[in-house]
Amino acid sequence: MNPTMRPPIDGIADAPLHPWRPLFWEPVSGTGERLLVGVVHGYDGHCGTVRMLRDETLDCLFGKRSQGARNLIEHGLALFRAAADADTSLQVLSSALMGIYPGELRATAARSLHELLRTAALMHSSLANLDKLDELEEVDAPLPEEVNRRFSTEVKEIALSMRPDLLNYFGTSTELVESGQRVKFGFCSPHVVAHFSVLYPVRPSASLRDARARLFELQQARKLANIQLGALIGAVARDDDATLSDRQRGQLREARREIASEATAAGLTYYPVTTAQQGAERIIELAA
Amino acid sequence: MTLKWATVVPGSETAVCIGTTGAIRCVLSIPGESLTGAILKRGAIEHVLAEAFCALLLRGWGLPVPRFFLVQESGSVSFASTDAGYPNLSQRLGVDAFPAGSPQHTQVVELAARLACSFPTAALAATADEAIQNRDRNLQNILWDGSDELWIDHAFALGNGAHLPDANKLCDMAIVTGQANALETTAIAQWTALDRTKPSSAAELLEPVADLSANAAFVTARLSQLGMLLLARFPSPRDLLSHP
Repeated sequence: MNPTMRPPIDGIADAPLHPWRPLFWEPVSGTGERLLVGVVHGYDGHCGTVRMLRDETLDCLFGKRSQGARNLIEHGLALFRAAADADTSLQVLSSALMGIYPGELRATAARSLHELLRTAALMHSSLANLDKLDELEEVDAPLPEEVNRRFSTEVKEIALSMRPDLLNYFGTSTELVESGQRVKFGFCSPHVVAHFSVLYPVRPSASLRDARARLFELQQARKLANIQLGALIGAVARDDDATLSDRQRGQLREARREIASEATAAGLTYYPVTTAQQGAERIIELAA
Repeated sequence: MTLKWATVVPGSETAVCIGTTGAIRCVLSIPGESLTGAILKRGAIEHVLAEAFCALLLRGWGLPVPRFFLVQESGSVSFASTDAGYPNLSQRLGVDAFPAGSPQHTQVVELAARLACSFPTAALAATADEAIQNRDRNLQNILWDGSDELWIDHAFALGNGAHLPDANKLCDMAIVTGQANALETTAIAQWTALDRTKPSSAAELLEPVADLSANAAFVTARLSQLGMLLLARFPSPRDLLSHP
């Protein structure tokens, strides 16, 4: 090797070590079957927990019962967070809580919380290697309607808890062509017509096709019913989602940009949101 | 509702190691039904009968308690409560991961107690526990799958828990987590709506196994004064006539 050649300096080598424990969930008590569900960490001296088992994975595993599983896991993570906070230490967190089993205490170098979480996912979870799914030929089959329906149901429930007077506007239908079939919309009032969609990280192409179809329906509804505003409120993954690869993040950013452009061209607006709460606040704002 | 018997599939038993009543996970063979997962409890006959009687009674009152079977084994009778569907995602709310009194224990127990008291059937459970004199409603005896709760482990009800401090633990949890008013009001309302015929119905169903008329009479007697018993579990309101 050329003695004057130095290997590139990777800042990670000099980054401080941060403690964390992987958290494994045992869905059926006493079976020993476990999945990485998240981590409890002490990044930068602050304790916290992060769920890393994706919603889509829970949906695939448990179908209609996935919401219950999510609630269970979130409660378990809250318990770990409370226990870690009580002592600002991860040392004593060695026993199971609510079916969640902590793994070995680790300390790895990280320059950001995202990097720490990504390390944990790579070390302990097969379900975080989403790149493998991208290597398979993606079939542009339609997204499961279940995925969109669940998001729109959550948005509706939250919105109605704040504005019960909006009940009659959710799930209303209208024709897209004269004397045509009635098409159901996520929300339709005299002032705004809106659809809800999901930008599914493992199926970006199919998500894009779905969004396009919804934009078409919105465009037609606005024209026929002479409604002022048309909106597509889309659930998207957070930019700092540790379970996504850089490539997936790029694909999702591109998909969002494309949907926003196509919406603008059709005289509509695309509102990406990362939670159902945000979706609800947006629809309430538009309905005002 | 009828009393049903089942058989444990040989070799399917796995120790669960939770609580003091020696629970064992197993698979049951049920006549006319498919195999199902269950938790089996072997022990003193009075505990088995208390479990069976309370399961019938509490289910009769509308409290979510797992479906159960009795299992005849080598001259003794065991109690088995079945998984509610497959997979059974229920977890016990108990948090014994930390030493009692430690800051971690205090924090996590409060979170778990708050959750327990927020369940839709918590008030009914508190009322039923008072009726059957269940002194052992700790967090380990409450199951939750993220959507629905289940109330389990009644071996120490009906006088079997005389060695335990006299307490209604759900009421205690409500007091500690600041939910006493809500639970008290709803529990009293639940008491007024309880079907007074259910204790004798439960005893009748178990007649082929044992004479549980005394248990039925015990519960019926408590029902007549349950309002006062429940009120006594909660702090009295302070007024001008209260002693300081």
